[in-house]
Amino acid sequence: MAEDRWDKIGKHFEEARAMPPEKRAAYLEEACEEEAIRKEVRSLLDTETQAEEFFGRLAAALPDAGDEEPSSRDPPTQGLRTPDPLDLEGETVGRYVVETHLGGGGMGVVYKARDPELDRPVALKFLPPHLAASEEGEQRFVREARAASALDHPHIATIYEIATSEAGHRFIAMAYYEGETLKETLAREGTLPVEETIRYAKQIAAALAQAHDADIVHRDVKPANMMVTASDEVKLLDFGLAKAAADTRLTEPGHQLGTAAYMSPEQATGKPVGPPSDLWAVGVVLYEMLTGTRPFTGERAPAVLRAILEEAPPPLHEQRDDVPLELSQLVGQCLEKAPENRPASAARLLQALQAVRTESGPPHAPIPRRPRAWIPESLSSLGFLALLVVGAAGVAWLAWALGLVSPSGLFSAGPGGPSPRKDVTHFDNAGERPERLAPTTVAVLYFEDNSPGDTLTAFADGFTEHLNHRLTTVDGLQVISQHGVEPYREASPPLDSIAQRLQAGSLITGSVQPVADSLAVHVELIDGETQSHLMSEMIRRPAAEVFALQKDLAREVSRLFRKRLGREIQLDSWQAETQSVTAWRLVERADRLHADARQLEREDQLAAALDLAAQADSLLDQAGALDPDWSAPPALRARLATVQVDPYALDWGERERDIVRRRIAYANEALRRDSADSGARTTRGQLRFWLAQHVDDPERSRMLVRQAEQDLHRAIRESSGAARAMYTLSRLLLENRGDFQQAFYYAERAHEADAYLRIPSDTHHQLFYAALNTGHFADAARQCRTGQRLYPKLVEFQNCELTLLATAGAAAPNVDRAWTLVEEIRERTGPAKQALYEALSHAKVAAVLARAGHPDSARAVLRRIREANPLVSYQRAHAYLLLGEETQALDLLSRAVRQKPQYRATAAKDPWFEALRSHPRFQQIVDP
Amino acid sequence: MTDRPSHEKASGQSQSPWDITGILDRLREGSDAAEKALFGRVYGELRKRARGQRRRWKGDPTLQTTALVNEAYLKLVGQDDRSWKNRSHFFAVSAMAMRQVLIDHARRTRAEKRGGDAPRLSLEALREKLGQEAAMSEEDAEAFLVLDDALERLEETHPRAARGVECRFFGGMTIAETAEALGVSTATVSRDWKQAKAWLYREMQRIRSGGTPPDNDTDAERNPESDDAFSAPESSF
Repeated sequence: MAEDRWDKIGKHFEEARAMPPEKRAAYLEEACEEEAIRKEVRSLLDTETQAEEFFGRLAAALPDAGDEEPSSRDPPTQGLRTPDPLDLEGETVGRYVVETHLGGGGMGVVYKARDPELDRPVALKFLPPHLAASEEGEQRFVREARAASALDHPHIATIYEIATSEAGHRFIAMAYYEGETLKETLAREGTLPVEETIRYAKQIAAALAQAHDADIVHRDVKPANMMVTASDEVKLLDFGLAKAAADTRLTEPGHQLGTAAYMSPEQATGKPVGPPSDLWAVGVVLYEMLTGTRPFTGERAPAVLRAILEEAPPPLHEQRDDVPLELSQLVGQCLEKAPENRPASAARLLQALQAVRTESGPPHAPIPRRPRAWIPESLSSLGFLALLVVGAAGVAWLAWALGLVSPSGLFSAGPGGPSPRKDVTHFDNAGERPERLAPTTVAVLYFEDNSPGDTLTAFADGFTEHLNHRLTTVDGLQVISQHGVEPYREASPPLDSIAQRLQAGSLITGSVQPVADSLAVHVELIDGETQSHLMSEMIRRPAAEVFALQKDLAREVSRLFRKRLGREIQLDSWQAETQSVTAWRLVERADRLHADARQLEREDQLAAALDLAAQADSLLDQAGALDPDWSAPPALRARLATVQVDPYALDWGERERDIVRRRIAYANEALRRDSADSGARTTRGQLRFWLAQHVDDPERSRMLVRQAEQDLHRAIRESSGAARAMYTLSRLLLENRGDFQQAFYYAERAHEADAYLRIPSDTHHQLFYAALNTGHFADAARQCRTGQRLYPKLVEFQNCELTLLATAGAAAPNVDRAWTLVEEIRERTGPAKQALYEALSHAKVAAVLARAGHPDSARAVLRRIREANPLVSYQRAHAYLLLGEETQALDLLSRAVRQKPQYRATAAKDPWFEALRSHPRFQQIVDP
Repeated sequence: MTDRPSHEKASGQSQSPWDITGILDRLREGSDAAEKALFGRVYGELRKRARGQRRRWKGDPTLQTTALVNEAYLKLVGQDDRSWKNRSHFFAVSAMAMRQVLIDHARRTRAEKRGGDAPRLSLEALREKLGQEAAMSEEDAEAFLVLDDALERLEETHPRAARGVECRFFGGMTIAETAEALGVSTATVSRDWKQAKAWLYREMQRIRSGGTPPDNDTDAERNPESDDAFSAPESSF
């Protein structure tokens, strides 16, 4: 029957698919008895690729499109996904949900997946079939992967675990990085600028130095094994895996050529392979990055291998003018045929790279480093210091003290390595190093126990671990693991060398000590680059249950740290954007004024806030003129609107609208200067969203909401931590679309993305509202309590509790508590908003009274409310509904939406009005 | 915090006794009536959930097919019934419902975007443009509709494979879940799935180029009027 035939075709189709195309015809000839079946299978095989592509792409249009945020760099190719070789897409492997096939090679097949527990993307690498086939190959794979997984370095891809799927596939789960491999970068760019090459090279060398320290040799260093992440950092992939594959590798056709090109002579001849082989490969990669061609080429693998063994490539500086002689020599040294003539170690290579000065200078004029703490700008030139300290030993000490070399490295130069003397000449003009440690890479050093009898050691350790753990959960931070800082626990080398060793731009150190009957934690944030103290805080807590105290303190310190670091990072990124030091300083001052102005505004000191905003505006005006290409000044000017108008005031006039329109024009200017300024885009979206609430023409309002939505979506798509955009989008969805689920989703994401706590109270509050409206009352209550604890002065978090009391199902209607809250809200409200807030609170108290079974009191409270504001009407409608007075409720609701059509979407889905949903008049009100 | 949300009581619907377990039992025994009853419920629920979100089909994890179906499951069946069998049967029916929701949506999209008389792209040209936009594009809609037609043809000749496609593609079910729901082995599901994709693609090419299926004559080509007629009830919501 039909099914029989179908199954027969299916079996042949499956068999044939598994074969290389050239063998299929013969198979079909042999296996299919019927010509018709053979024809059918052939026809299916012919359409297969297109069919897979069709379904793959169409699946992207389904509601569960694999990529929630297609990155802007790859939309057209996104659809051209390679087929799914292990047919795992959509499957669950271990605890991971496989999303898309990313690629594959000799080292295995890689899929992007999601870890639902930790809600993060991961890359899963499956053992390639030719390795999986043998027990021994598999065990070696696991052993090597396990060794590599112990490595912890910002430039080594992080391995999470090695596991086996239900179907028996071995796989490695590792961090997923947005970006492309260096191979892809090179294919696109041809060659890379010298500066960038050096920067990547240093990262690679640093990673190898740590691996070699741990006795792990990579063995397969090549561009395809280097990820260049979206934040332009290199991550080395596949440590040690080559070893497992070594035997099978050479026999694999087609694969070898690419790899052979990076093979060292000793590897090519089957001699023992050690760290020098990796350095050779680095030399090949550097050569390729700078010239666009590999130093040893040939049409077939044997020719390549012969070149590796016999030929000397032309020196780099002859190939390309702007390659500094030192760099050319260094690469030449890496490509020495005899391993002992190459740099003595990856650490030495790193030092030498750090000392390379580019002759042509960076592409732009160098910007002086922002002066930080004790290193005055003029002194950061080592040449100057070198004059003061005479003699090689002095220079050596100095180089060591500044983290350029580790003490051991300098004195243990191996044969063939650069001699100390040579180093000295480099350091003379080392000036400032082009590479800066990333401040987002954080090392939490073990806190010291400063108690008299060393009684707090366990506490200090526990605290350190808690803090480390807390910071690990912050998006955008790379935290060196416990394991990584362990070595600096007993022996405490100078901070700068720790920073260099761990490549950590931020160090956290501190101590714990008892003070009377409480515990004090002293914590410092130190700039890994300059060792200046960015933050120094003492936190005291009454001695309590140890575990709770550790957690509490860790939370507090983490908050302080995130805020402080956020500012550092913002300032740094601004600095990188402009060529004008003066403009940068003006923007920094303006930013501070803006922050102060916002604070004053919160405290209801409006005149003073406006004054500061005006000052900031004028500074930004100057900054914008000094560097006419820089988008930050106009972008910040646009943001000043947040001080100049109150977005949630209900009575905007032409003045407010005009201010906002003008500020939108500044955002446009910023985007004209730099269309990728997602901060400016967010601000424009935010301002359009505000304006939409306050224009009379409904069509115009709808258009503004649409435009705002576009801006915000794009900002979220284009930047990694767009907390403000997500927060604003969440509000828009909640208030203008009535789309609570989505609003909740974006509120959560905003909260997570707000790594540096720039808008923490906003995200908490938004989470509260979104949770409330989606009926997650326990969540809502938790957000409200958290807000009260963290922001005791903010009226929002008193108000939220009152809202909970007023909402059926959310909390028991505690009348006493409600009145207390009314009082607390009054205390926290400035005179300007006093009347409105009181009316709003009273409407909610009426709801609480109605719920508590005091209808008469509720009515009395409602009668006293005089405000005709639409929001008040909306809330009164709710109270009347709880009293069973539907007509009154509908009248008020109708009045509210007449004044504010924007309320319709919310009202339609508001749990408060659930009981009215089927009422024809209600439907008429929300959807006329 | 212990009192139940009042609006759940107010809505009335969730209180009406709906013996889902009984329906699922009968479903497993192959009752068509049970399937219809369940489909109606799930379809209504999915549609309700999906409707507010038209503009954001894509890019919203809360709207994942699986998540949607899960939500519907929790709402209709409740958390008490954790039996794996019931779940996969429920999911299989949900996949049908999801297909319907998507096809409705695709029809609406097509009607809104062009009113039915834009030049027809070949399937190959269509393929190039799929899945690229944040919302369902006209091409996506076209592709869903032609897939739906092809799937109808597959249903006539190879119903098992068609159900498998529904489960895998529209229901976002895993191979194991699909196998459980259809009562066949995972190997069969996996094989059917691959074979059906190639078969469907070929069929779509035929439909697209105006051809009729060789073995079966259906009037699968729909005219724009019937699209409009189909989307009409939507506008009254």
